[in-house]
Amino acid sequence: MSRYIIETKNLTKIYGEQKCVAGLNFHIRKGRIYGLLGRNGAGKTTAMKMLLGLTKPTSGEVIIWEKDLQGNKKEILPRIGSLIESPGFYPNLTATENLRIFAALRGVSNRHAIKDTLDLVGLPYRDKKLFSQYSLGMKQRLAIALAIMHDPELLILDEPINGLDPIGIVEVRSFIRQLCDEKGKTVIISSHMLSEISLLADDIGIIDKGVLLEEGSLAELKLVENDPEGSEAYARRNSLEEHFRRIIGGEGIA
Amino acid sequence: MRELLKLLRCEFTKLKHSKFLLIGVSGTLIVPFFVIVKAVTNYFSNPGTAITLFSLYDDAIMFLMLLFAPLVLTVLGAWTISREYTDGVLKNILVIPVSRTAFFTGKLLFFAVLTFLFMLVSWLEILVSAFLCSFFIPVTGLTILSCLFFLIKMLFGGILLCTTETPFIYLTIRTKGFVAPLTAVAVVSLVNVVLSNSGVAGFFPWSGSYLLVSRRLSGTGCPKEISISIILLMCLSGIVASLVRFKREEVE
Repeated sequence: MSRYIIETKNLTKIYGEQKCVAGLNFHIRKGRIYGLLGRNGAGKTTAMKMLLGLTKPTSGEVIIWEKDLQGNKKEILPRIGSLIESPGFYPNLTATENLRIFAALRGVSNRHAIKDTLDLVGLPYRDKKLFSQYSLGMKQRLAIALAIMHDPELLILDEPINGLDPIGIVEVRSFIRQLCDEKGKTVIISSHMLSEISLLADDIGIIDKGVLLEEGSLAELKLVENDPEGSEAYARRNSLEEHFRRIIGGEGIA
Repeated sequence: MRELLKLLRCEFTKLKHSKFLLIGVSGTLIVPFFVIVKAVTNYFSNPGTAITLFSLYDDAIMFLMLLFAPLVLTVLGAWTISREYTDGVLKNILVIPVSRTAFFTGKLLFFAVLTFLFMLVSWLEILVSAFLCSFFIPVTGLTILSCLFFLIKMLFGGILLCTTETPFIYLTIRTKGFVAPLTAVAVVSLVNVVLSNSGVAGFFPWSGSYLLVSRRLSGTGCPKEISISIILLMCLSGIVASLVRFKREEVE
């Protein structure tokens, strides 16, 4: 039995003459938070879209729960929750109405799922405010709600903290940590923000120009060292930043 | 079947709070309104002649099928499909374990329901207007049987309108927007007008549909079987092309 929930084999995506992702070999372990770190345009979103079957790989395979994603989507996708790029919902509907559509399509049987999920992300249930009137932060919260509403085992979150205010960022961070620690969920989170990945991830993959440069746990990459004069988080961030800059150069990260 | 009904219900939920329904219903009311106004004006110009239910429905079917309905229905159809792209919802839909074929069929079903509603409201508006007019001016042919006859005719027109819409659905999926299908339907309406008195009108699917419903096809020299075959072939090509395209769709 494989140690990994997700394994990709030489995953490649070419648009025209541009190689967006080249020969990616991800290894994502169960119950861990995997941080995919890379600059803007590094290929993170394309890689995540391929993990969800939204984009067909030019070559390579995506193995999830030991099954090839192509051909087993009906079995695999219900167990995954996702957030890809900007939140996309029907602008003329409220948050509850939007979630009601997706709950019906997903066949969510729990009658309280929508209310519980909205409570969890801090959005009001049966509010009259339309999605088009939401702030970016609220939209992002709704997208997270959609990703977790059907209680998936695996979450694929592309830049989930985009647009969130500092309190929202802390809330989402602790929420993701909680999902992983208490419910044993596996989370893949992409970001170009070093601080977020360093605070949240157990394992890290560093991607640049479509190539996975490095992969491993923080410990394996020797990035977890308690700074005797500072906090562990501070030390993590600094060492990750240093590491990141060393292997790909330092621009385009925050 | 259950899945299709679920998809259909979702499509109706998507209309909530939008001005879409209001615009659609207003659009539906325009043609019957003008047909009634034209008939009443004619009556007052020639007071000796009565308004006939036949002429009211005949005019309505002509304006609806040749000009107005393709335009309005293409706007509605293009909106329901293109918004999945423009609002960025498709990436949330495609990760749901509902097959793309089922999703597409749900859209077609929704479109068919809208078309029938469109025709039904038009039929009802003419009927009510004719009934109200009959209190003041003579309206002949206002019987239950003739009303039912025209209802069937209008619904038959609805079926043909649905079948001739599939190329515009394909264009919407292909271009992910409004502009191409609206331009195409405007051209089709123009051709309908140009061909209206021509012998080749029966070979053009959109004017052929009108000729079939109004039973004027025999006067054009185009065999019924040929006209129906052209319409069905175009409908099928539109569906297959749309489905193939939608199945290959990637979220970029």
